[in-house]
Amino acid sequence: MTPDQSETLSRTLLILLPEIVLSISAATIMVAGPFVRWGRSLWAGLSGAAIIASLVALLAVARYDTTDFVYGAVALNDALSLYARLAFLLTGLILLAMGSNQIGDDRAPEFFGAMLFIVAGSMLVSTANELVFLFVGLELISIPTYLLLYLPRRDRPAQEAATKYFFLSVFSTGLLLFGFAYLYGLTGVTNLKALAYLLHEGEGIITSGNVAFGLIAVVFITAGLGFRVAAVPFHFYAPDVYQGAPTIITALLAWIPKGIGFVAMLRVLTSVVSVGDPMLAERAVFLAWIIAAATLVLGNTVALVQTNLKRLFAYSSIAHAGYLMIGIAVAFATVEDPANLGPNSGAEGIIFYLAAYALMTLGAFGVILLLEGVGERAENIDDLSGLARTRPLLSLAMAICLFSLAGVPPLAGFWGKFLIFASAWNAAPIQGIPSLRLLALIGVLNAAVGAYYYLRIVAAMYYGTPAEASGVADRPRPSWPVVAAIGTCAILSLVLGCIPGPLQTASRQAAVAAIHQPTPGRSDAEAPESETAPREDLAQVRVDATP
Amino acid sequence: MATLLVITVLLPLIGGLALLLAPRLDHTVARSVALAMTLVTLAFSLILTIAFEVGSAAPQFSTQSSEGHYGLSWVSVGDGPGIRFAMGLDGLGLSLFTLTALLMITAVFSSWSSIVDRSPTYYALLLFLETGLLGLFASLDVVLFYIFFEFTLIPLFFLVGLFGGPERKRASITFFLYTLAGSLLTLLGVIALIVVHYQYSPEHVLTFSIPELTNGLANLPWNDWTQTQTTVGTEGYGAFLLQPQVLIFLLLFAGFAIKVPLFPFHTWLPLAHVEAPTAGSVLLAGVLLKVGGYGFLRFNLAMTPMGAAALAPVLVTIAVIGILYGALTALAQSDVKRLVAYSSVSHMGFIALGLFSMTLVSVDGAVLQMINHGLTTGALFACVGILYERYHTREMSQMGGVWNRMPLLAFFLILSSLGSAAVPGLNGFVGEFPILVGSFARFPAAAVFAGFGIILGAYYLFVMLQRVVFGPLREPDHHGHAGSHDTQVPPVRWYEIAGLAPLLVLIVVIGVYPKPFFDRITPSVEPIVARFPEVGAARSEDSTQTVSAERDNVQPRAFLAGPAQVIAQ
Repeated sequence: MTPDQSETLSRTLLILLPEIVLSISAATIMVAGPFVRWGRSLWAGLSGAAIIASLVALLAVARYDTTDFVYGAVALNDALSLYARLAFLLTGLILLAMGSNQIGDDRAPEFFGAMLFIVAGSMLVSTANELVFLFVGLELISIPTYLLLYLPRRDRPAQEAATKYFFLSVFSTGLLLFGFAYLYGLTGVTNLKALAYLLHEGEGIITSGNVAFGLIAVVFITAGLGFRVAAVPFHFYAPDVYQGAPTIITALLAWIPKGIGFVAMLRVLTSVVSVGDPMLAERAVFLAWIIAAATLVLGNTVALVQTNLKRLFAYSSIAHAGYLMIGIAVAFATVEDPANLGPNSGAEGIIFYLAAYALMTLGAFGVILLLEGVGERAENIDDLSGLARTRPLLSLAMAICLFSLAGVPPLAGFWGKFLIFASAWNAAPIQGIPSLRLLALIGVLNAAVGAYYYLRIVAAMYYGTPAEASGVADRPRPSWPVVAAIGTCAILSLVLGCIPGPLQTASRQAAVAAIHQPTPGRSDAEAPESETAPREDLAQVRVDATP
Repeated sequence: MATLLVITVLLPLIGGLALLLAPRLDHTVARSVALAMTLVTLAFSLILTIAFEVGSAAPQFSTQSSEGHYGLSWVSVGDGPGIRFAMGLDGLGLSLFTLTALLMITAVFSSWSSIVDRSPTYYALLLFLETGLLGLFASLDVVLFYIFFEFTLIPLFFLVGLFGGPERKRASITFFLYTLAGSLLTLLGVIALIVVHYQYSPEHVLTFSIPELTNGLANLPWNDWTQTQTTVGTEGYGAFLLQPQVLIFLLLFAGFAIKVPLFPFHTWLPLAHVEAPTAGSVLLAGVLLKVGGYGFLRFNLAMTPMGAAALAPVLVTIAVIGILYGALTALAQSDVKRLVAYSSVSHMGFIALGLFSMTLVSVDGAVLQMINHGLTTGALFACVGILYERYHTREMSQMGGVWNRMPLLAFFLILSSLGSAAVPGLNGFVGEFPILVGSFARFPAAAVFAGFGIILGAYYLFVMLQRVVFGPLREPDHHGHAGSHDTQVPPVRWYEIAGLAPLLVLIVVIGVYPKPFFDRITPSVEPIVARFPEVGAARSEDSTQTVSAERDNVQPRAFLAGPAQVIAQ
């Protein structure tokens, strides 16, 4: 039975409890900042406590099911939402640990508050079931990001990075809204599940006459989100911003917008388009095909010639957006029956890949941060030369992260690539567009190219000679949260590579949940599963969705 | 026994981790730990060899779930059995499995005195490599196989890069990228096999098990799969190459051909072999190259036999080019290690020729030749390592008359060279002869040219022996201080003998009595060969030269199996 509006509201607030906890903590920290003078460690500790409180809240509300009012709720509590929120909370904790000594005491409250807001925003996007709500979540990420880009360091490169990011981000937001407007115009609802349901069941929502509207929506939403994930042709800000921004912010930019962009794509695009009319789905596959191929080739080839580490990781993150776009292309392909997803779907691969990507990228940036923290240069590849002799464990962690990024088994990155390539090969061929198998081939060749620049770093660390022989005793000790964060990333990359089962099962459930369409309920509580005419259901959906 | 197999595979990994994590160890402790680990692993693998039931083709020492799937569930994909942690050995896997365990002893002994700096890391990497190789030959699941297959790259990358010669950085990166590029294409081929099986098998089973895939793909009710055009038809090369079996064959082929390496893909090999430390070369030549041959047999020939048949003429041609090119290049070398490295290209060409001739005799011979080549080349590299340790050069112009200085080493070098040159009575002959006999039945011209390869092989090895072993004593002058030569060149040590002796014993034993080896290999090879398409009518007149009037009653394969039996007895 469908809950009424007040019950829907109270239950929605309940499932949003983790985000509420986090936002209130963030606001409190930011407001209290100017009035109390505490050290940065204390602020970092408080923020960590807030994240842990939010984690507890998340686990507490995890069992509240939202299936019976999905067509009326703004937030969902399905498997995808749980998975993504857990991922963002845990990586938020890792980022917090890495950033704990990156900021002066005077700006610490704003810095950590902004980070908490970003995590809260990412979690909102993961739960969102409503175009407007999702947009609010995205903005809750963007605005603190502008602040963070400029907060820790106020020199010219940081200024340039902040300005560049700000203008392009605002521009992409405009594109995104434009796409949302078309999606709304096409169907008259903003609830994402209702949108998907209408496209799947509603006869004639997409006709040959208005398929162009759907296409405009898909193109503009892909463009808007493509900026966040740094996919070609919306990638060009990434190298400059990554290089100019303080390293902790680069780490954040390399993971949070990418993760959130792909989760949003799963929510808004693939789950909606793939169940709809093949006319639209096939064109969307083609669009993602081109973006994926271009992103892969450009990201990997340009990364080959980089010597600056942060710039190299910028291009590497573009390349990884390419692998993930392969998954999006597969996920766009028509799904006949949302209840039966087939043996391996693109969404499943993306969700697994994102977790692996978060670990390996954050681990690699953590190593750079640690070296900067103890006053060693870590700007170019050559600066890491001979690191294995001076810091064997640190270089081992870095090597694990880099091999994982290169996709060498038995590390987590391998399974991500394996699942995505397998899904691309398994996809049914579509008439008139290049085969997804060709895309998998392009991806595989690029993975081989990509291995080269990761190996260059490994080779520098292990085969190079240290620049100067500094004594072991007199060098400053790295702070323990950074060490713990790097250790977590490296060890989890290895463990998830050897025991991928649980994460794979969770990704599978998340992928199924993303596309799941419960049978619409009826207000009069009578036989919700009976053979009702589609039109009646449709009317019900409209009533539910527009309170 | 199933548990023992898993323990055997994982034991070196545990030993390696212990070495890596232990506090700073002296190199004498590290090498003793490594030796103990490899000895125990060898003992376990010998127990498995003895317990192996001769004559059965099914994988042994594996657990089976109640539904009849091998191994334990590992990652569940779809509703099927999923990716499983399945291990087992058939005759093919067992031979290479034991060879690996044996060559590891040689590897440890050949590093006994030469590796002092950072030796715990070194031995840990060696042990990791052993786990990778053992796991690869024991895997019954394609994904598990692939993981071990690629995992071997990491320890080898560091072995070459950290402990190799002057060009080690370039060598290790070239080796890693070359093999990674190929094996990623192989990954795509493996995925394609799984998908084809899933989409076209009657029950739509998503299986990753090697035996299940092999059986399923052989009985696939899909016309495009079973009816592969073996010649380029009127549709042109595009349509020919896009046939599913041909396409998947080529994807799988990419990784294994680089590993073997076949002729145009061999360029990484001389660099990696020459720069690698002695143990690295022994394992590279002895086992890692066999991974390519093993992959050809397990995947290319067993799962896409029609694709192999369609491409066989091309493959045989490049195999023969590889034989002659490798031999001629080896002839031109002045560096002993480089010479042995190029001889590997030539000998691996023989193995490829045997495999792609696709007759029971030639495939049987090729599998035995894989073991032979592992033994002889392993022994040759170990001898070269001993020489290098004493003279610090590998230039043949700077040394000579080793017989006068170290008669024992000279004997070892001569014996392994003779084995490598396929002198009757030693192991090379019983491997290469069936290959030539088997391939002559289908590709007579190729067999004739390959025969020249044997002659060339004897030529460059004897030239090498003549310059290094015989003649007046000649030692590099820049070595040591004036007047103290006699005390500077130490005699052959016990550990060097211990590393080489098992290989030399086997070289003789296989040469004299190969039956036990054929007995274990043939039952595993037979079902693979049984799936090969019959030799086409176009080639039948070629093979009549060896076929008597009984041809109509006797299966060509059965007839050709004769010579192998003759040799076996």
